[in-house]
Parts: sequence; C-alpha cells; structure tokens
Amino acid sequence: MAPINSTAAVLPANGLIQAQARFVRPRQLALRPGLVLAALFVALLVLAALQPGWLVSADPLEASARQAFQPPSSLHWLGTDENGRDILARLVHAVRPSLVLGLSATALGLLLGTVLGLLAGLGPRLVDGVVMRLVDVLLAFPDLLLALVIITFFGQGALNTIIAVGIASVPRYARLVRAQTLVVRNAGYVEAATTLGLPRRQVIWRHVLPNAIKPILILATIGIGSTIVAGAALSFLGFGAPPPEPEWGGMLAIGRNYLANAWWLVAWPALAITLTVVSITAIGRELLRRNEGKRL
Amino acid sequence: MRVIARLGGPAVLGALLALGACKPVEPAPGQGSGGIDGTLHNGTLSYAAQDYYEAAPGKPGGTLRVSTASDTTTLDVHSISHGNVQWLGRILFDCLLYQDEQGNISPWLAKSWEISDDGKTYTFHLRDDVTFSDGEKFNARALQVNLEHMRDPATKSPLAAAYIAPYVDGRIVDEYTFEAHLREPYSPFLDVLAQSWLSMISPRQILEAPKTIAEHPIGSGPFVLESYTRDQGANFVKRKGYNWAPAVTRHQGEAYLDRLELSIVPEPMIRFSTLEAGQSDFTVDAPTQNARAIRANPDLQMRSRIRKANPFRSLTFNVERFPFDDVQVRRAVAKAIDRDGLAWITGFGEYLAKGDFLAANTRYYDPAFKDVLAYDVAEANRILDQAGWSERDGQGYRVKHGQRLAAHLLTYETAAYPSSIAVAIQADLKKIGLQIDIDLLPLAQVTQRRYASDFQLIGGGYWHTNTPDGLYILYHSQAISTAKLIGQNAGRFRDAELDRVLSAARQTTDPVELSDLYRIAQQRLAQTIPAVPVFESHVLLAYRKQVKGLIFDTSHNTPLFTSVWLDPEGK
Repeated sequence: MAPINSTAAVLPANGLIQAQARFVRPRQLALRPGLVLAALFVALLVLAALQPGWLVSADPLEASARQAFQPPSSLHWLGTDENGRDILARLVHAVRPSLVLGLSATALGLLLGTVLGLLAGLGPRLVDGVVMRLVDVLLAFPDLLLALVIITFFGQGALNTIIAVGIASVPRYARLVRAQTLVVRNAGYVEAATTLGLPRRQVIWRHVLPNAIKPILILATIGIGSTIVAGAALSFLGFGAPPPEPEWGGMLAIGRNYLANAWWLVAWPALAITLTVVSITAIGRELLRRNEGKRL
Repeated sequence: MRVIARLGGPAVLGALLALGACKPVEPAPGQGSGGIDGTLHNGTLSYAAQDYYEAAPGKPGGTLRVSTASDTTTLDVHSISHGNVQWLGRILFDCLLYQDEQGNISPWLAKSWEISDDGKTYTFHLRDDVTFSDGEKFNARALQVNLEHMRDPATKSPLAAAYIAPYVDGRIVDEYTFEAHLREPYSPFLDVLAQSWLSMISPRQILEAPKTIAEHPIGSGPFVLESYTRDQGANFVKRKGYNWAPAVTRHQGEAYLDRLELSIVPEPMIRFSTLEAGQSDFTVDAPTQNARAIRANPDLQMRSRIRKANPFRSLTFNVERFPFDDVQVRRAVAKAIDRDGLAWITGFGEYLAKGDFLAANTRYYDPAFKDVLAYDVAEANRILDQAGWSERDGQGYRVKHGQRLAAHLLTYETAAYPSSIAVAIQADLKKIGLQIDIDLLPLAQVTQRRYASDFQLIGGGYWHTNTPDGLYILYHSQAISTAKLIGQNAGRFRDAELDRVLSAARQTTDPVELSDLYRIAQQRLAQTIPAVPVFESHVLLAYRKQVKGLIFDTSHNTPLFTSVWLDPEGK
C-alpha cells in the first residue's frame, strides 16, 4: 500500500479527487482517529436504531421504584433513573426516535426548501420576490422558536415534532438552494444545454438541480445533527413524547433536578447527544471538504 | 489525571466515574422518614408545645431572604387555594382567631366569642386597637365586609367561600361586636376562621378598589407589602406599631425583621445551592433530593412538618366511570401501589408513607385503619380474579367480556407530583394487569377537566385544613361541583353512610361524639376507597443557622415569620 500512497500523494490533485479518495483513505484515516471514531459511533447509532435488542437486554420501560437512583454498577452499567429503569437501555432505545426525527425532519426541510428555492431561483421575478420575502419573515424567527410555535399550534406528538423541526429548517435550505441555483443557471454547461435546444424541464432536471443541490445535500448532513439537538430541546421543554417513552431530551429535563445527588441521570444523555452531534458534524464536514476538493 | 485529559472525550467519562465512586451509595427505600419533627406514638403524631411559641425575645433588625418554588399569581388570599397562602398570608394579614397547640380555638383579632345553644349564632367581641396599614380600623364592619368578599361570586373563591358556606348574614351589634348567623349548625366554623385563606383585608380596599387586592393587598399583619412582581418575588417591610400577634405565640409588639425578601425559584437545584452558598437564608420548599446534604451541612438546619387533614393522594378515582365504578377494582389498585417506593422516589427518605385518609397529627385521627389498604400485590390480584377479571390477554392485561382493564391517568408536571410518580404507578398497576395511559397535560386543562370530572383517574393533590372536616370537603356528596358551587369532590364520590357521619360531625361540638363520628368516617373511607393516599403532606423547610426564633403556625404547621430574627454570629 505504501508505494501507491506515496505515488498518489505526488500526483496533482486537480481532477484526481476520485482517485485520491480511493487510494489515500487508509493513510488519511490513520492520521485522523477522530473521523474513524465518529464513523464507528454513527454505525453504532444506526445499529441501536435498527436493533436495540442486540446492544442491551434490559427493558427500557420496566420501572421499579425501589431500584431508583442507583449509581452505575456491574448490574446497571450507567445506573438507574428516577423510576429504577436501566439508563443504558433507555439511552439505546431512545436512539431510534432521535435518528428518525433527525433524518425525516431534515428530509422534509430539504424537500420543501429545494422546491421553494428552485421556484425562486428559476421562476419569474414576482414569484422570487414573494417566496423570498416569506422566507425572510420565517428566518426572522430562531429555528427553535418557530418549531415551538408550530407545536403549540398543532399539538404534541412524534409526527408533529418532525413537521415542526422540519418546517423550521425550510427557510435556510430555500435560501441556499436559490443562491446555488442562481450560480448554476449562468454556468457554461447550462447555457450550452439551452443553446443545444434541450427543453427547459430537462435542463432543470438534468443540469441545474443536480449541480445546485449537491453542496446542499452535504450541508444537510451537518443539519441532521442540529435537527437532533432541536428535537432534544423540544423534548427537554416537555414537548416530546409523553412518559414513559425514552427520549434523550426528556431524560435530561428530569435528571437536572437531581444533579446534586444523582449526576448519572444527566451525564449519560448529555454525553449521548453531544457525541451524536459531534460525530455527524465531523462526517458532514469531511464530506464538505472532499466536495470542495480540499486536501488535508 | 493529566494523561487522561489528553484523550479528551474519555476524560469526561473517567472523571464522572471517579466522582461516582466517591459518592456513598444512596440508602435503600423503605427506611422511614429521615427526621421529621415531632414524635410518633401509636401511629399518631404530636409536636412539642415549644414549636409554637416564642421562648425568648429576639434582636430586631436585618433582612431575611426567603425562596419558594411557586407563585400564588395573586395576593388576594380569599380568591385562591394555593398552598403558599398558609405562610404568606401570615406575613401580610391577621385572622379573626388562632388555634392553640392542641388545636383548640384561641383569640386573635377576636377577644372572645359566644355560640348560641342552637349552634347557629356566633357572637364575636373584637379587639379595639387594631388598624390596617392604610389606617382603616378593624371593627365589626370590617369583619362583615371581609366575609361578604369571601363569598362574593366575583371573588371566584375555591376555598374560603366553601369554608363559610353555611354563613347567611351578619349583624353589627356595636362597633366591636359582630353577630354571625349560620343556616345550620357548623362546628368547624371557628377553626376555618383561623386559617390563612380567611385573613382580614382592609375593608376600604375591598369596597373601593377590589381589583388592586391581587397585586397590592392591604392587611393588618406584621409586614407591609412593598413590591410584588409576578413569578419573580415580593418584598415586605416591617409594619410599624404592630402589636396584635396571637397570644398563643407569646410574641410582643412588632416583628423583629426589618425586611423580608421573597424570591420565586422554581428550580430545586437553585433553591438548594443559593441556600448553601449563603445567597438566601431560608427556603420554604426544601428539595427532598438535597435533604441529606442539608442535614449534613453544619451551617444549615432542616425542618420537616406535616399538614393536618387529608394526606397526599397518588390517585383519585372517578367513581362514575369504568372501571372504577367497581369498589373491588379500586381496592385492588390501592393495594397494588407501592407507597414506600413512591415515597422513596419523591421523598428520598423524607416522606412518611400513608395508607389512610387523615394526617397523623389531625384531631380525631384514628390509626386503627392505617393498614387496611397495605401494599399487597398478591392480594390485589386475588381481588381482581374474584371480581371477574380472571382472563388475561396477550400483553398480560386483564380482560372481561372482551373489554380490557385499562384507564387513563390525568396529570400535569409539578414538583410535588412529577411524572415519575405516574410512571411508577403505571408500572405497579401493570403487575396486576391494569393498563394505564398517562395523559400529561398543561395545568389549565387538567384543572378544567378536574372540575368537570372529565377523567378516569387524576393524579396528586392534598387537602389541608385545620380540622378533620377536610373529609367533608373532599368526599361528601355535597362537595360535588354544581353550576353554583366549586366543589372538591372531583371523583363524584357518594356514600350515604359517609354523608351521614360527616354531616352529623358538623352539628356537634362534643369531643366524644366527634371522635366516634370521625372514627366511623375513617373506617368507611378505608372500605369505599374514593382515592388512594400515598404519603403525608409534608412542609419541608431549610434555613441557615443565623435564623433564630422560628416558630410554627398552629393551623398550618408552616413558618411564622413574626418572631424570626437574625443572629449574625449564630451557629
């Protein structure tokens, strides 16, 4: 491997990003344990979301008041919570709702944002004006506040949380897609395609959309992390799933009252949220960097 | 540690684990109350007489900084039932009467009183030296105006109005003599007049500016309100010339403190840490989870008192709705709830678990029935089997005629009834095959559904009053809400025998007879189970040792700040 690597390293990077990515990865990874750890952690999260039973055997809902507030021990690795439930089991079972929220809310935000962005970027000036002023109004609200308003309006529940957090991220994506579309629209290949007489629909579908959306897809990866935080914040504020369902934000909210005598109620969910967001962001940034063709 | 620190992430983990290893393991539940004041004897609780009067004069001066968990949202004590009124009312106002250490009635703003033979006319002889802080005199007219204000529909009183419901009208005999006429004999009348919710407000304010009472009430009490900011706090200053503290307290003259600053701090951690750091002197809502740390701290003092009348409830049944229209299901539920477990997860060893319907320090409390509803899962299962719920479905829940044994529990998140209680009850009842869904709603919705009796199970609540007549307020069929009356019998419980004894108890003042009647009432409640008691209603205080001269209110067992003083060198 080593000779290939060194050869690759002296090659000019321009136009060889693909090759570089393929050949240099092992050495890059060895240099960047953080990225490897992040990837491993995300893999673990995906496993926890799909098959929580493979990771923990305890029932996350089994409560027993007499077992409450036990510090970490060999029986309960991360201790027990205010109802005597195993915290590790609850953390693992809380992954699925968190990831589902993170992915689907981001997808929703991206989808609506792209539609609005394309509409504004390619549509007539009037449509652009109307859509963008609407987006400006929504941008005036902080994301979380917007999500809170939506939840208060539509009521609590998993689906409503997804909708709320998703819609709250629409303005940002709409703006990004519009800006990107305006850049791509004037690119040489688009002009060429138009000159060649391709129908407008096909130009948009084949040339504008893929090139406009690629950087945004990568930003959306990073956005998944902040969406998970927003979901946890809503759950912390009491807008999440009703008890006894496990949720990281909810676990934090209850645990903070016992911080002085049972720190493990807060420490583990806080750590889980932090690591999740850091890992996803690390991977997203790496993708971003590669897309921009930057090397280490 | 330095080596680990380089590793970043794992260091946090390692440090936390190390912290955990240093901490003593929490004691197991069921070890009783950490250190409640008073002595338990055969199940009844009594307090030392010294807790209720000033032993020696204190030193005047200083500012006391007090924290509490919640705001009453209005200072018109007639218009609310909030628990904070118990001690807040005593800061600003005075009452007509006071109880003594044994619960007998003693004078306060009324020097003496007579009751007619038919029990329907009460004549009060009032003190002639009392004034409100706006200069108004306290006299027979002031008393009449106050009683009218309590029951005025515009006041929307959920408590004071119900307590004086039998009051028909009053006659001003002379300036300092007042005659109250009742519709029927009502023996708790004098007791309720000693409660903080029935305090005396300036008659001029009631008549001329009733809207201002909520924000800036005018009383005759030992302190005067300087400012009040909703959900933040209030400042009080000493009332100059105050000289009418109840004789039972043995306090002479003005309050010792110059100022009293009250701040509203909902987060338990902050109430504890400000007290610990000396940024506050006193908290009336000491967090149970920090009780051990407070007791271990040489600078702090912790006090635990019990409120009279009805203890804290884990659940109240709506007896008109499935499945709790069946007393057997109610009994099984009561026996399946692990009270010691619940007392542990909320009280951390500070709460006394409770299985019967009157607090252990209430007059005429009879401990004979305290174990009738004792925790016994096997027995609870047997009761349900016998009641026809012997089949179980795939998830382990009981079924009868194709219907699952299931109910919704209505509750809201509060420090006294956190959702962990609801979850623990859910887990306990699953063991007997009863499915519980928790409906966690905002307080306003819960209150509305509570008064409309629109629930199967409702969580939490206690009813404190200074007489066993609290049972009437909660479980008499007359206490069911109607269009005209806000009643506290939210579960719509009716039982002819219970109605009979509770009504009879209102007619008599004979202690022997009362003792018999309330014994029957307690027995009847243990058999008919309109609700499930869980633990005593505790008053938990913590204060710095510089705070001296603290005595307790004989009615509410809450602190009385009139005699409190600060000793800067105190330990």
